[in-house]
Amino acid sequence: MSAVHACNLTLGASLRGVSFDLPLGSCTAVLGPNGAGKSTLMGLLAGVLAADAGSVSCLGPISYLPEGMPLDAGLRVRDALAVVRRLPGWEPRVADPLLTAFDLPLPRRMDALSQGQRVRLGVALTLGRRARTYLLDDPFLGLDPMVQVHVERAIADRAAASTVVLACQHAAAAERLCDHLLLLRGNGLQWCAPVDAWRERFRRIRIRGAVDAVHGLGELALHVERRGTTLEALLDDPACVAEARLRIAGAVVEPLPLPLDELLMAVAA
Amino acid sequence: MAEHGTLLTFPSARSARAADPDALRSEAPLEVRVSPPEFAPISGLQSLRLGAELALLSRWQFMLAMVLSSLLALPGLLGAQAWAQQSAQGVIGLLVCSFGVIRGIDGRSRDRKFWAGLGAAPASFELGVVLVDLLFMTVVTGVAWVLSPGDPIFLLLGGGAAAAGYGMGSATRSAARSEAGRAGLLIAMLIVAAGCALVAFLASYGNFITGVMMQFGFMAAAGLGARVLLSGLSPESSAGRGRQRWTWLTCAGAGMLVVPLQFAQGVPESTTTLHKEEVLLFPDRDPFAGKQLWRTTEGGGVERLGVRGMIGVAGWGPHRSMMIHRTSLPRMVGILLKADDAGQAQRLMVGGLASRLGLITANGQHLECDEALLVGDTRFDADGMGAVHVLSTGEVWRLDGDGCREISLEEAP
Repeated sequence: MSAVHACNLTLGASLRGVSFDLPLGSCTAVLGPNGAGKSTLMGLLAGVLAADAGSVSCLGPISYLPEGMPLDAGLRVRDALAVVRRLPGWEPRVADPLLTAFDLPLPRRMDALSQGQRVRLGVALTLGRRARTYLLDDPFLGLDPMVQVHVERAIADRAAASTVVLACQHAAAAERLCDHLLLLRGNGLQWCAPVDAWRERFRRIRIRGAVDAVHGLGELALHVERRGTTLEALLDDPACVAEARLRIAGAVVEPLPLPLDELLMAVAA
Repeated sequence: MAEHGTLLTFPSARSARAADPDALRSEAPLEVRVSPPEFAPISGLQSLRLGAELALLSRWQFMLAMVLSSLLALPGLLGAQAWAQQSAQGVIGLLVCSFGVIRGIDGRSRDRKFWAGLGAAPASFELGVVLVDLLFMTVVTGVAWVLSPGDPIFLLLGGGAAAAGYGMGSATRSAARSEAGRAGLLIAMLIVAAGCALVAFLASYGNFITGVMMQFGFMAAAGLGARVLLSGLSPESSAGRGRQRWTWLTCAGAGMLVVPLQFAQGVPESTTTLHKEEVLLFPDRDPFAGKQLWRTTEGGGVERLGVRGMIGVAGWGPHRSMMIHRTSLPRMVGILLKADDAGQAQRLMVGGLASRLGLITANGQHLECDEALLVGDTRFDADGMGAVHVLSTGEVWRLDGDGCREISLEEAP
């Protein structure tokens, strides 16, 4: 069963022909360069933007954190909290620890908050409500590392019982939290798959011994870099053919960790 | 669906060959861990209340200052001079009008997507905001009105302009993202609206204030209706992200609605007695009447005369014939009618006021001179089918079935 379904979503030049399904209970990271259409996609999923073409469905109720948490500049933090607390679905069990950790200046107006403080408030208001689907557009924007840990924990807590879609530039955080990746590029969808699928297709290895055998790999090797007497290679090799060939040629192959951000950078390059 | 082969800037031939596009896609759903939430979604009424509450919470200081400013009218209650009362009303009217325009084009509306994203119904939310703003403008105008013992004309115009500015400013929200862009559009709307007003006033209402207020009302209703409707379709339209860019023109043109509406109006109630059994029905005394001139018939019914426009003065002769002067200056209408009320109807002099001379003959035919003529002495024919008009300059004009022409005094019947 799909929690989020998009079919041929198009909105001006921001997003063109995007289709995907996200399973119920998944935690998906929406990644892509600036201007790729991440926020537009999140707005379309949340229903706050109307698509030019295509359809979208999202299992509700949803809780949506817009990018930068643009609340009315004259609104005070305590008033915003008071209003949201009265809405159906508010869960003090989740929200109160977050608010304590975030240490928000309650008497201040929105226009007196820093970007990070606004995002903290937004995260507390969004994750403090129970929903079937959480749509979080850049929930780490402007956060310091200590607070980001709290936010990641809160997202993980919600992801345990709900569907979460997370648009961000923090590939490392996305890797820690998410089981699906959705990559946007050039205002279209390039990839939507479980993280495991990335892991199966792309690997990073260290090669010792018969390093020249790497030249026989052809297009299986996306990137090769010499480190002293060894080589490090990024492989696009879902069938594990390359490693077998290297071993046959007498090379010693050692798998290396491949963080998502490095993989994205290598792929983008 | 995504083609994973296009992931790379230089896709490997192997991966392209091996590529069953869905091979890497997990079609099997993950373990379902989701339990349905046990709460009702946010209702329309809750959304409306939410919008109203947030509008109040985020602007209560500004609103309080505006309400206090309405106390500027207090000296009027304490017996201040008329000019002081009018000045205070003018200032308050300008303040309310400014508030309406500023709130209309207010660009701090991107918060709508947060509230809509939490489940609030966008149209109801927007309606709540609009109601608070309108209520506030009404309170400020109302307080000043209560405190003003004199003619509240400036308050009336200020309040109406505030509502219209608010409505039209609201209509610009779907078309421009920045306040500067919205302000530019608002100016364009005002130009369109002014054109509509010109048409409306030329074609419809005898009473200037009524015409303006009705036009304000239509534009406010159109703009606010568009704002609520568009926010329902796309909450981001409040932040200029909608694509309904021509809505503003429609709203600006809404002022034109006053033109056809006049035909729905009935016979005016304001009357001037001509003879014992004849009554002239003056539209300019009835704020909601059109520009048509009416008179009672001998049988007791009403007759719509074949003439439109501002009726500045009327003189009547035998056989129910009638000389009329039309003027484009609405304020003159009042002055002349006062003169009429004072019993000077047969001889009315209006120095320097050019007007169009017309005659309604005994059989109801309407004749009119093309030239602009001053009001002068009128002598009606005995049969009521023509008249001679003598100006103070000595010119003599004849109006009858042959038209309107200048004649010599000797030629006059």
